[in-house]
This record gives sequence, C-alpha cells and structure tokens, in this order.
Amino acid sequence: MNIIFLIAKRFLIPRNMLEGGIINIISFLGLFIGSMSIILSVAVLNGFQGILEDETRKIYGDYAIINFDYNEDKELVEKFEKNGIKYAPYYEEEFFISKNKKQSLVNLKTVDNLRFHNFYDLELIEENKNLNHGEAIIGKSLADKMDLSIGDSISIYSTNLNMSYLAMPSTKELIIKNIFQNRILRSDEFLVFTVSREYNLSNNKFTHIEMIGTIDGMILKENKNIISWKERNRQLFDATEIEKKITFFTLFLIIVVASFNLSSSVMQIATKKTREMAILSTFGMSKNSISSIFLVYGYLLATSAIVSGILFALLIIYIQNTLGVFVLNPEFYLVSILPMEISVKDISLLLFYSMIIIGLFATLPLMFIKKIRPIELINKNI
Amino acid sequence: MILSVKNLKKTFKDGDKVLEVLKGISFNLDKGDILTIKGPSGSGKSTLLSLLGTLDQPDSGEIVINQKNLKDVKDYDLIRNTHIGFIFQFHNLIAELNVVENVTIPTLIAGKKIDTDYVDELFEYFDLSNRKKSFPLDLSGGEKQRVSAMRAIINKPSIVIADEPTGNLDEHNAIKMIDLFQKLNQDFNLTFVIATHDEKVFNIGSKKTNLYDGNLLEV
Repeated sequence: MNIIFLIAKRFLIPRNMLEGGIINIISFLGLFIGSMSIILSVAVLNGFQGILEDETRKIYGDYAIINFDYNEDKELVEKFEKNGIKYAPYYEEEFFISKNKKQSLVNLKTVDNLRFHNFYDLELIEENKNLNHGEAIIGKSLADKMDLSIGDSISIYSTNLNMSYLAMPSTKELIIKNIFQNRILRSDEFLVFTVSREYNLSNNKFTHIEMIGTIDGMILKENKNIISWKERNRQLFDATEIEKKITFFTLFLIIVVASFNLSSSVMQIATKKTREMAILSTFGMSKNSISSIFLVYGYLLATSAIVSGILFALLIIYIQNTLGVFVLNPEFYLVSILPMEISVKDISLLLFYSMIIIGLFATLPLMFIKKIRPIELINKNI
Repeated sequence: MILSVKNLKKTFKDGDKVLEVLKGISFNLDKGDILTIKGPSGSGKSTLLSLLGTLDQPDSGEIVINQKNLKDVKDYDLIRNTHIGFIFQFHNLIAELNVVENVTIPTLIAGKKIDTDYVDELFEYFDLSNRKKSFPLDLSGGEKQRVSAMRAIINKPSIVIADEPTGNLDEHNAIKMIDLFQKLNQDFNLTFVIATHDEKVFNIGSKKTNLYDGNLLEV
C-alpha cells in the first residue's frame, strides 16, 4: 500500500477512536448531513418534476409539429402509421367562453375524435371519453371557476373579431361532455377539447400534429417546426430547474461550512503529528509527500462522509419508493406519497463540486506544513 | 572510504552572539568502522550528527558519503533515504503503524517493493518475528529500540547514525543494544557513527573520539 495513503488512513482511524477528536466527528457529520440533504431534496424535486413531465406528456405528447399540412405531410403520417407512432392532428384557436355572466379565455383544441381517444391520457371525471360534434371536454379548474358541470351548455366567442352580419362576434354553443383534471400544469384552466364534423385529417383543416415517440431520423420540410413538450411549457420547467439549482446551491452551503471544520481537522491533526512528520522527514520523505498525507487525510474524511451521506440518502429514497413511508395529502399535492427520483447527474455534480471545495479547504493547512523545516521538526520533536 | 568529513564548521546565531559549535571537524571512516563520539552536553554532538545526516547544512567544509559529495547533492531526502539510517535516543516509532509497517517506512518512502524474504530474515535476526503485527504501544522498551534499529538498516544504508541510542534504556536492555550494534557491524559490515554519554557504548568504537570545544579529539 502507498505509504501516504497508509499513514493518512491510520491517522484518520486510530486504534483509539477517541483520539481522532470531536472535530473529526463534527466535520464528518456536517459533510454527511450536507450531502444527504442535497440528494434527498433534489430527489423530491426530481420526483415532482417527473410527475410534471408525465402529466405534460399526457396532454401534449412528446412533440408538436407546427404548420402541419396533410397534403404536404402525407408521407409523415404514413410513417407514423407504419411505425405505430401515436399522433393526433389538431387545430387550436383562442375563444372567450361565457356562462352565467362569467367569462374566461380558453384555447379551443379541435381534435380528431378517433385519435383523441388513443392519444390523450386525460384523467376524466366520467368514464365516457367519446366526443360528438358540438360537445366539449373542459378542465376542472375552468369548471370550478365558472360553475360549470357535465351537461351544461356554454357559448364560445372567437377572439379574432370575425363579426356576423349583425355586427356580433361569431359564437358557438357547446355542451360539456366531460371534465378532465390536470392541476399540475394548470392546463385544465384554459384547455378545452372539442371535435367538429368539418375537421378531419384529409380535408386539411388541422394545422398542428402532436406525436408520442422520438423524432430521430425524421426529415421535415423547411416550413415545419418541431417543438417538444418541454419547450411548450418552458416557463414552468425553467422555474423547476431554477428551483432545483437554488436548492442545490443553498444546501451546498452546509458542505462549505462543514469544509471549514474539515480544515480545522486537518490543521489539528497536522499540529498533533509534528513528531511523526519529523520521523518521516528523517527517513527521506519529502515535504510534498508529508503534505500529501494530510491532504489525503482530509479527502478520506470528507469523501467517506459525503459518500456515506449519499448512500444513506439513496437508502431513504429506496425505502420511500418501495414502502411509501412519507405520505402526502393528494388534495394539496396531487400525489399520495412523496415522490423521489434519483438522478445520477445530480450525484455526480455533488461529488464533483464537493471534491473541489474539499480540495480547497484541505489544502489551506498544507501552507502551514510546508513552512516547517525538517531540522526544526526534528530538533523540537526527536 | 565510506565517509569523509573535511574541515566541517557550523555556527549558530543567538541574537548578536555567534556561537561557533563546530570549528573544523575532519575524519574518515571505512566501511565497517564504528565511530563513537562522546562529549559534554552542548558540545555539538547532535549538531555534528545532524550535518552528517543531511538534516542541516554546514557553514563550510565537505562531507562525502559513499563517494557522493553532499555539496553536489540537490535531493537530501534521497540521500537520507538511501544512504543513512537513524537510531534516536527515543525509539520514535509511529504509534499508528504496526511493527512491520514501521520497519518498512524507509522502503515505502523510496517507493520500492518490499522484499518480504529479506524482511522476514531481519525479523528473525532481531528476534522479533512474533511481533510483526504488534503496535509500538504493545512493545517493551528494548523491543521498541530493536524495531527502531531494524528500521535504520532496512534500506542497507552506507552509515547508521545513532544519537544516544541507549539513553532511554535500562542497563539490561542497553547491554543487549550494544551487543546488537556489534553483531550488526560484524554480520553486515555496517558503519556506525554513535554519539553517546555511555562508556560501554563508547568502548565499542573502532575509532573513539571526544568532541570538545568544537573540535574532535581522538582518544
């Protein structure tokens, strides 16, 4: 075994554990708690983000192709059919919705009835998902806001100010067939699904198409745009990403503070072990190698604490995901158990940043060690 | 010649005063010689050993160890590791390392692979085979000093420097240590430079000197 590693290890785990000192335990605990907190908090945020992603995909699919034109994109549709890719063409327009003197602005999504069935995974109040001409499925938040229930009739007004011959905006009457729920995205506040006799795949009235699957190898014409579900809800997902980064940064401060303790630990052991430094110097160990012992000591202490913290957090996540120990009120949180998702990327980032911080703090005491002359050490200690 | 010292001088500053500790020491040692040095406290014995051990540098003069002039040497750590073995008054073993680890420190520092057969032979020679895995705290004073001697010779050094090697031992262990030095000298043809107050140790020298007032006087 390498002598530097051997001595650092023996200094860290002495035969009498109490010799290690309380400061080692504090450093260990600080780094342990810090890393555990980061992994747990980020896992919860990942869990909620995962739910958010699932819920988004249920309504938006994976990708939307803008400027869909059946005549131009017939091959694409055939390719979808051939490869079993789920897709749903739609036309979307903003409307005012009015009922009982209450108004709201909604996105009316006119869809193909057959594909609507297979594509959108909506959580409906009633089982029946089948839509007929003149019927609509609205969101629960919208229904609550406007006191609407299944079977009610609503008037919708176009926002593009196409007036009728009586100088009144064009209106349509729709019957509410069902109500869906998707509170995470708040899309149930503004999204209304409907079908129309005038809209089908071949008459070229659908302007967009949504699909579930990958876009790898898909060649599209220049006037087409592909946007992912994430891009369509950029604000929301940017917000969750920022929240994750802030949480990571805030909790990382625990590791920074614990690193000060680590610095003290290294300093303490270096001051206690001047006799050993003198012995090693006498037998030809260079100053750099002697310093390395304390650097390795710091790294061993910190790495063991951080890795233990991560492993402990992973154990908690595993227990939570298997047994569902931490329960939530679904009325408030939409899920009944606390979601937790492990991200290898987050663990790697934590390890990477920790190693840099630990390196910095463990190196500080080495400046003191490097100033010591072997003869002084020997005269004082041997 | 294994060690040649020419006109070695060393001074220390104490405020405005300059203390001339070594005033021009010269001697030569051949392989297998035992040089014993005695002298009153503060006579400069330890300073001389520090200079010979490359732990400190002289103001002037020349030290040549095994044909290597220390003036031309840049890496003193390497010289200490390969050419010099140290035995101190106190055993100075590292408490956290077991006996075999303490003994092999110089080899590990050199980055060499440990020759287990050689180490086993040494342990047998020093009658410490049953103590390999023990820790210094579990050893008697005599055993500790034997381990310390084993550590000094593990890298087969050109010279072994011993500073009051029996100073911390009882008479029985001191006699055993003296016998061990003589045995090592005969069996391995080792060269020793020993500073001591102990007459028994002093008398084992093939060259006996007295360090007095910064000068080395042959006895």
